Amino acid sequence: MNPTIGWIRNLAASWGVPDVLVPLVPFLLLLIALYAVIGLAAYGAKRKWPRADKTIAFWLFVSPWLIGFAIFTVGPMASSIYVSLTSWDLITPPKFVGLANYSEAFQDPRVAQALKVTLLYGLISVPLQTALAFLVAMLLNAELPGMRFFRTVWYLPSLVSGVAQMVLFLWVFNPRYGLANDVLGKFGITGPGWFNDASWALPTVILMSLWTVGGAMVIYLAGLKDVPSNLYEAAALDGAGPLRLFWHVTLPQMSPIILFNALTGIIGALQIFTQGFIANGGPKDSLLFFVYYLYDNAFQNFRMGYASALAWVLFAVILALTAVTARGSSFAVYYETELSGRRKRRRTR
Amino acid sequence: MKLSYRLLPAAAALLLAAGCATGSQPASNDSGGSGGSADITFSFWGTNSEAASLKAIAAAFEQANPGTKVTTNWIQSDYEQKIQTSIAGGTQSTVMEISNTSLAGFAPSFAEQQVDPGKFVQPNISSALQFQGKYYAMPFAAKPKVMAINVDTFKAAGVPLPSATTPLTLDEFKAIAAKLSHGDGKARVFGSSNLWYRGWLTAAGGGYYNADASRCTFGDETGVKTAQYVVDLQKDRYAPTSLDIQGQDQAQWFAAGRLATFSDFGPWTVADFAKISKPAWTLVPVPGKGFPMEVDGLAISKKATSKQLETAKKFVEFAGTQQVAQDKLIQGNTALGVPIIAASTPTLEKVLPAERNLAAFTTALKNGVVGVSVAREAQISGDADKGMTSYTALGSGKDDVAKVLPRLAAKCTDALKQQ
Repeated sequence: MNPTIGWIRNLAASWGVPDVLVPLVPFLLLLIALYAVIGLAAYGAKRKWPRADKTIAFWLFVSPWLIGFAIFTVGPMASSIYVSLTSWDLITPPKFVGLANYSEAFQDPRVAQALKVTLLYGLISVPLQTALAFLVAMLLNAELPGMRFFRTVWYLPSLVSGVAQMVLFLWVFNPRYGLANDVLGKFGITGPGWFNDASWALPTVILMSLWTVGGAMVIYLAGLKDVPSNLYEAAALDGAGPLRLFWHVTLPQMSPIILFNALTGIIGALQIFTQGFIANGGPKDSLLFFVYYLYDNAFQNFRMGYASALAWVLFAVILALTAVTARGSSFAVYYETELSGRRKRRRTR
Repeated sequence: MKLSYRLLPAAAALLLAAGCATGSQPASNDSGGSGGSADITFSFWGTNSEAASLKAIAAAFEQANPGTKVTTNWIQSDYEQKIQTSIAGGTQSTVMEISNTSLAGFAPSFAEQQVDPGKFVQPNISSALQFQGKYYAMPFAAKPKVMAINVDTFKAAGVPLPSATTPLTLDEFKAIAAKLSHGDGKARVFGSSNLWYRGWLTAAGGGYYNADASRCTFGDETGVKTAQYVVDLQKDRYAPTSLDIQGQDQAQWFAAGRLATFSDFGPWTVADFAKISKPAWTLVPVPGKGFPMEVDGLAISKKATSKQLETAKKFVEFAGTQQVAQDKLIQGNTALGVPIIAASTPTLEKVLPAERNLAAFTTALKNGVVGVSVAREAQISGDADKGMTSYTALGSGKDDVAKVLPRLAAKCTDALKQQ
């Protein structure tokens, strides 16, 4: 432990601070000191620029988040860059190894397998989830009695935590005693091994992911409610049928929301962990998702340096895919604000 | 005034640097870091009853040593991950429970100890907690395995009961399992519970690693033969497969009469089986040379202060060698492990009536085989086990064990060499 922190903790303990609060004391002192510095800086700025009241107030109000972001996000990220350049098992001191961890990652066949499994999962599950969520939102957008009940029913599964979902589906897809094979058996079909079969494990997880499309569905539903009705009326007057209404009105109006859901879906898919963790990577590494492999290296094999390098590789992959998706979809996404901006520019000219 | 504003960022940076810099001073361990107190902290894993045993030992130590305080830290899950991160953060406890299988990986952060092998019932117990010729933990409990048999099923099938003291051979066990297995589908009675390959490998006289842990040996002739033995018993439906037992409680299967024998019976299993009055059951030795025996010890943090070290040494000595502490390994009708000193060993035998033959644990303790400790055990054996269960019928695969095991063992040996 850091000697300064140790000294503060011992001092707090000797002053009779309850044991459970002792670890908090150094952190609180640090915060107090930081705010003293920030307060002094604000006071100085106020004296120098007396009319900058609002700017100073803004920075003061935003400072708790900024401090939290610096300590709990930027700090660990910077630390993980350093750790990724070392060999560290948590027990012995870290040894600087340069780019050896990155080099190992590019030659590790299990990294290739983890990337393959994760990308395959994202490539199949995201479009399926997007299509299903959109379809369900369209159906639930109809003004029919009982619709609120169905909206709730579709949304409910997305409230179930990942571990609970996986445990539930392990039972549903248990090859011997599960509901799925029981039902298939009633039709004379011998069900597959699901999570226990290397060729079925990933399709099973993809199938499972469709159970929780309720979250995206709610966003689509809100978007559908926001499509101006005059657009539909105008198109109908021009003789557009339901398909043309969908293609020329609904889809363009919904395109930013579809893009948002697709992007968050891609990021979520690339960070999938729970399913691989509970299934222990699946048979023949069929569920070796990238984050699970990273976790395995960090907390099972205690290879913190290698795991940190993997984290940065994943970060680069997510960044690249998100950029490609956002850039590549720009021609297909309709933004009203952009249009009005263009109009504005034209008018100015 | 202007100068002082310019100095503010520097002051903030200095403050943060003081808070974030890593030091090399001993861990404070909260109390006793510098104040001269002899208080220590003690981390351990386990179930409710196991934690009750260890808390009782800590309380007994406090009672025997007035003025000392042992603050217990019961880690209920991911024990090794948590102590490893606490070691990295310098917040580890003064005393930490450790098993012989994990010792090698943690030894660099433990203080060397003086252990007198003569105080324990057999030499394997103390040597289990040696690493590179030095003791890094004081043994305090052993976890030998025995086998439960369903006496009613044996009698119904007209099969004589195995000896209470002499183990069956593996061939005798297979023949008995075949005679006791009958029925179909969900009513099938299996002669054996699911077979734990690593356990049966030891029973057959083989081992996962060689004696100096320089080579993985499960791909050798004995390893392949044992794997085939396990696969054959499953194929003939004398033992359930891993798929059969997925999500199932085999103790419940035993209670329901679906298993004639239950071979992976540790001291902690006693409580579950104590509830079973029908069918009648008793304990016998595991066939062959028995399953590997885990030995648990108490390690002392290398970063403990001299006063903490003094108290910690007294505490581990007390827990491992004093009858008052060893007797506390048994709580009610369950046991954290088998006591390892002669005076306390019979304590477990008295937990259940004599016909249950808990004395089988005493025999297993005296003959117990202890495996070598490997530094990256979780990774090395984890990868090999995963390969076995993925590709062969030891798990959900179908490939030939004779081809897969030597390949996995070679990879395993490479991993050992990279340590």
